[in-house]
Amino acid sequence: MFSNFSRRQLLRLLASLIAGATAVGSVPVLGRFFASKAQAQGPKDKSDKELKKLYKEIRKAERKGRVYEVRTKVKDETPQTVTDVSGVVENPYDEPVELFVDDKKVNMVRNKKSKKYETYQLPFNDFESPDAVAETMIDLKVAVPIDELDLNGEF
Amino acid sequence: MATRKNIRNLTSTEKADFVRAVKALKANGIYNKFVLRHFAAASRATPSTVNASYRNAAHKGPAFHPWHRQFLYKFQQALQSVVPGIALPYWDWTQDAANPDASPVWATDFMGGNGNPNNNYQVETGPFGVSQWTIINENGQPNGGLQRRWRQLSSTLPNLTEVSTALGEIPYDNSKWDSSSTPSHRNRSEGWINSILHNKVHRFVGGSMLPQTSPNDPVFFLHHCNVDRLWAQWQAQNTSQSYQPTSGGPPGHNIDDLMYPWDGVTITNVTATPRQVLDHKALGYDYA
Repeated sequence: MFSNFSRRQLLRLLASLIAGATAVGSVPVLGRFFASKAQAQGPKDKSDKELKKLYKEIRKAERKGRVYEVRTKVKDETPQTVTDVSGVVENPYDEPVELFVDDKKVNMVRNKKSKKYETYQLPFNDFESPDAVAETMIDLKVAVPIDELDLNGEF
Repeated sequence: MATRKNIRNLTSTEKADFVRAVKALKANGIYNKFVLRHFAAASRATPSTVNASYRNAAHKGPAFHPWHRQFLYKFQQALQSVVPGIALPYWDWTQDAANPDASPVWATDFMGGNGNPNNNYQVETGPFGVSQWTIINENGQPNGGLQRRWRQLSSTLPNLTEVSTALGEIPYDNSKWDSSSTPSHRNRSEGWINSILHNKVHRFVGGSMLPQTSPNDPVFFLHHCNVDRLWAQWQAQNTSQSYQPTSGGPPGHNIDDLMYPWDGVTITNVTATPRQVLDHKALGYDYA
């Protein structure tokens, strides 16, 4: 049934079927299928007109042969609250800026208290700017995950 | 019973066996599976409604200790498939706090030394040097040589005072069950209070030890073996304290929750809960 779907279309379909997915964070894994890879969709999916509606600034830069893009949103619609185990709590993060590295969206958030940027991919740092996130990712050869991961195996 | 020894007490044969076993696991692909499992768990927000930066299946929550205990236990089993009976050694970094650069862990017949700043901080010495060891990225693809950059985010290693504070801290954890939990042995030893202990070592070594693919550096296992040893010590010293939460905590962190990826599906037929790994001796190892 899905044989004519592109990989991207399949990811979008699955992402839309999963209830409770929020703007930031991962979505439940379906077996070994990393549905969160749907968040890795890059800027080329949107037209210039769509981009202008969403972002007040888009800035590109290159470092060590890799391109990154910092997009400042017109309006940050990150939910003010999230549901944790204790109930509905204030979301500690917002997302006024998006970062793309190699055309793939980085799971980057801004800590509302410190005003610094964080990504789970680099848990020991917080960063003054999205550019600092990108530069460290590039210097440490960090890739944005897009592929399904086969974790199965002996041991 | 496999006895996990201090790296300082390993014989030259034991060091060589450890290096040989690690490299064999790298050659047959098993090592890289462990790198990806750590990354996958770190990517998995718990619950899914929060961000993985806030709490994930292996970090910033109560399961930090049991998750890594299980992870090391399976890695040790994998090593034993190459060298029967081998035990993971531990790196007691407090013994090197005064002079980290001179630590025997960095010997050329063991982990090798720091990265070369003129070569993108790639390690060029020892058995995991750039011509002998290729790390992988978050998609499992080859990603060049191992990087180390000592003092990249922390200028020191943990000391005995930090260890003593963590060993004396009770309870094991408490609600909010996150990186702000206090008092909390788990949070203190993980290092989110004042950037000490576990986190501090990652921050000191730097390079490939900073991203969530940090098991790319074999020193990860020696480091976490010490973290596990200290948890075992806390358990022995605080017998009136039990693992928390028993219920009502984040999924994957309650005492009887399956810990991802050992849910019986992601890794076929392998399950693990925090309760199942509370007694390290029952897993077939002890510390010397």
